Amino acid sequence: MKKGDIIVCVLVAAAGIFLLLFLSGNVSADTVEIYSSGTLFGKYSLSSDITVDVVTEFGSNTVCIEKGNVYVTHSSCDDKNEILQGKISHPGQSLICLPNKLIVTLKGRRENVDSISY
Amino acid sequence: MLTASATKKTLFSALLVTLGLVLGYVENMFLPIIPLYGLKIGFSNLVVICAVYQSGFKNALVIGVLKAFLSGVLFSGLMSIAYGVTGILFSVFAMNLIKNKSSFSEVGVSVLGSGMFQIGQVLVACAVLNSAAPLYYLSYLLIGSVPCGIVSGLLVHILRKRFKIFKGVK
Repeated sequence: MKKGDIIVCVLVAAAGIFLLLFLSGNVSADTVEIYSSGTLFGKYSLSSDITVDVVTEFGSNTVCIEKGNVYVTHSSCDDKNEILQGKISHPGQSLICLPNKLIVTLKGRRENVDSISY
Repeated sequence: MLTASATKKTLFSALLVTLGLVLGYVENMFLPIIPLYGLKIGFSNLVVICAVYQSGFKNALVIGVLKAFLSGVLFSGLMSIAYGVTGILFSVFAMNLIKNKSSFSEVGVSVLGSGMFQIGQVLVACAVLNSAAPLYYLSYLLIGSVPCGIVSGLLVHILRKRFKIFKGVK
């Protein structure tokens, strides 16, 4: 290990930590947004207990919202990466399924959304 | 006309690509055992780092892009070619910039390459998904690329010390 190596390591790690802090912020999450290929599929309250089937031309996923946590229980894709990602509960966090072009993201919002709005 | 050394260089590049493909394939078989948000040490990228050191910028670029392309065709699907190729381009450019600086060893080069690979890959994911959400993963990937980059940097260091073949074909 040389001096430059340590600088590179610190810089890369710092960039990651900065990005993490920048994206998560201090507000608590309360809205779950599901996007398919960049367009909004549905918006749900994080406090609701529902299971959403997201079926699009790219594939199907099942998203579960339960006790303030969001997770994916089923996916038609091959790598099942978004299922392995587990549960998310903080704003800025996302579950992403690249093959199905699915994004489940958590937003911290000022106004409360209690019902499903398309 | 191909000289003997040009033939040797072509042959060696082909060998590196093949080695990279096999390493990547074997590593992918182990991935489902330890899920780490898609993070892996990236043994196949050892080959790319070695290539950056031993056979020059242009050749390393060819080796990296070929490896990403073929591994997409053979194993991981066509979409992954876009991620892999962009990642490789970013990382080879960055690694090439600092490889001959005396203050950087293989470890620094490898960590930088790994970080740039993640950035390139995530930018493509952002473009494909038309969303900034993958940036969230970039933070984990960048933090993870430090230990993974250190491991592969040390491995490259050992490889280059032990095997004459990785030192360079001129």
